[in-house]
Amino acid sequence: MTDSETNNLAEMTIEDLLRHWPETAVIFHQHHMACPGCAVAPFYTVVDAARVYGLPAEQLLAEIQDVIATIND
Amino acid sequence: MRITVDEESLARCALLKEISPAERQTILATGQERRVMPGEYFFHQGEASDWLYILLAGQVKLAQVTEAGNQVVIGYLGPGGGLGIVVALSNIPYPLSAEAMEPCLAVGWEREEMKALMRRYPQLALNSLGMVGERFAELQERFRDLATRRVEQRVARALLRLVRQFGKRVPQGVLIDIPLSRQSLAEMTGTNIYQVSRMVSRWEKEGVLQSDHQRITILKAHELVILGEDL
Repeated sequence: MTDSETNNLAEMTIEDLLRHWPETAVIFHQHHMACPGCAVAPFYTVVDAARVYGLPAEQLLAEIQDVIATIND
Repeated sequence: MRITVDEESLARCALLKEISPAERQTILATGQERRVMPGEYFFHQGEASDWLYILLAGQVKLAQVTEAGNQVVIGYLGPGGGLGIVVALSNIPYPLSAEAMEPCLAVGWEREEMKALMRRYPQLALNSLGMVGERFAELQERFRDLATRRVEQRVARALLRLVRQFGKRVPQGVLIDIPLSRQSLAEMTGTNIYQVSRMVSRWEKEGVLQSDHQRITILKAHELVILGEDL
């Protein structure tokens, strides 16, 4: 994944992310994050979500990228 | 009807989903334009339900009054929503009143006209069924909330439902873009204005939300989700 795609992922809302790659929901579940289906998923980005759950955003983004990479293979 | 409506507003209408733009225009042409000013009503609870509407612009409050004169807010509608869709087709009196909260523009059809349209365009009937289904699911959720949730959770969950429906991302958080008094919040959640005021003030102090001229902005949505979900 290129740098610009990584940036897009960081700025994407969680709703858009889950719409494009529903498979990424598993990452949120693994971290006990209630993002899939949340009322603010259309407004919050992955970076926002990482902040409120006290996770490093880079780690969460990396895990999401890994899942997306397996789908695109 | 002679008003011209942009495609984007029409595409947003649940009743007109999956109907071609040309057919939408034909359907629209059989309707009548209705403008309702804030404080005025599309219809009142108990009246004969001869008309059904789709809202193209503005916001509407749906409320019922009890025999004792207490108001219960059933919900709010924004552009694209439908008014009286089921009841008009079932020919039962309007079960609630629909009050404009902003200048509203709607298209209305008389019952028989809409029935004829639905026979001609079955997708209209399917769409109306979908709208009923959604409303039904929402009311079931609220019924469950009333039966099982504490007042604080009910208010948190009502705010989150409004976020879903009317939320707008702003720099500080998510703005609920409708005028929302504490009285209305109380009437949505089966509680009273004192309890709601106490909660809203506390949440303001804790930085969960801020309210200004009846507009509520959720600053820490996550806190509200936790409160509402017992996480």
